[in-house]
Amino acid sequence: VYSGAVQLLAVALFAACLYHAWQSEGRRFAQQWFAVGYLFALLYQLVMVQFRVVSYSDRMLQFGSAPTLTSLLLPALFYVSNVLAARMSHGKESKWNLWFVFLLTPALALPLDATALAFDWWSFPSQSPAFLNGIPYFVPLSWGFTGALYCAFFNFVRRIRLRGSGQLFAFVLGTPLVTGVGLLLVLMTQVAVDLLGLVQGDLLLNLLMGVLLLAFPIGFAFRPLRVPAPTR
Amino acid sequence: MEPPIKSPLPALPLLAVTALLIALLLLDLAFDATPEVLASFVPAVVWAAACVLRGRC
Repeated sequence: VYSGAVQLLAVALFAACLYHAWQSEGRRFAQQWFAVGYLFALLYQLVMVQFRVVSYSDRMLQFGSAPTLTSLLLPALFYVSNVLAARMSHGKESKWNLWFVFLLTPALALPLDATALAFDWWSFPSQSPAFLNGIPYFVPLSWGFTGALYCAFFNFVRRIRLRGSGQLFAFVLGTPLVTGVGLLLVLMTQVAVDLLGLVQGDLLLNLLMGVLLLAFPIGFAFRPLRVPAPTR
Repeated sequence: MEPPIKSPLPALPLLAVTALLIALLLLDLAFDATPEVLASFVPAVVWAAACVLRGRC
């Protein structure tokens, strides 16, 4: 029900993030991030549906088996994570940037998944152990890996100095490759988490989610500030 | 001299994602969401509190 709501929200978030990127990072950055991100999102959703990781409602606008408008959420969420991560890690060049993207993306995506399950926007057909009304335990980790992977890929190609449309070609050629790596990461995460659940039960998985989703932000909030050494 | 008007642009992604989460929360509340669905918002709230505490928002 109300599948139009999530599509509308996806378009609004995408538009706000595109405008922000255009104004703050420039036209070229914004076009690259969101065009390549959308291409990545469509391919990624297509393979995720094919491998039965996720299944979308028939009422959504679809391209093949990937939702055309809901896929806009991926580049927009990754962009928000990237912007927030840069603030937390003191700049996009920081070595901690990808780590914060890995932590922030699942925290932002979890309410979307839970609400989507409640409203039948999408579902997770796998038999993996699940929490929060049906979200498999591997899904938050997959969001983190996918967000960090996309940001790493984007930053890597941006750093290569290619002439003319070289960067665009690198993005277009690299996107299917990155989608494949993303799929591999998701499937490996699913197997690892399922095995962990099989051996140790749900308690350990709940603990893992607690650390990923709660302990790290709490640790970040109360981490002692580094005081620079006094100069003589 | 008038103080310069602070542009909302730097906070736009944060505002947009907050609006998205609030819209989802209102939708959930309007349709009697289960506690599990509401609990899914906790990590985002904890991150928001952590950001405010560290002054990084």
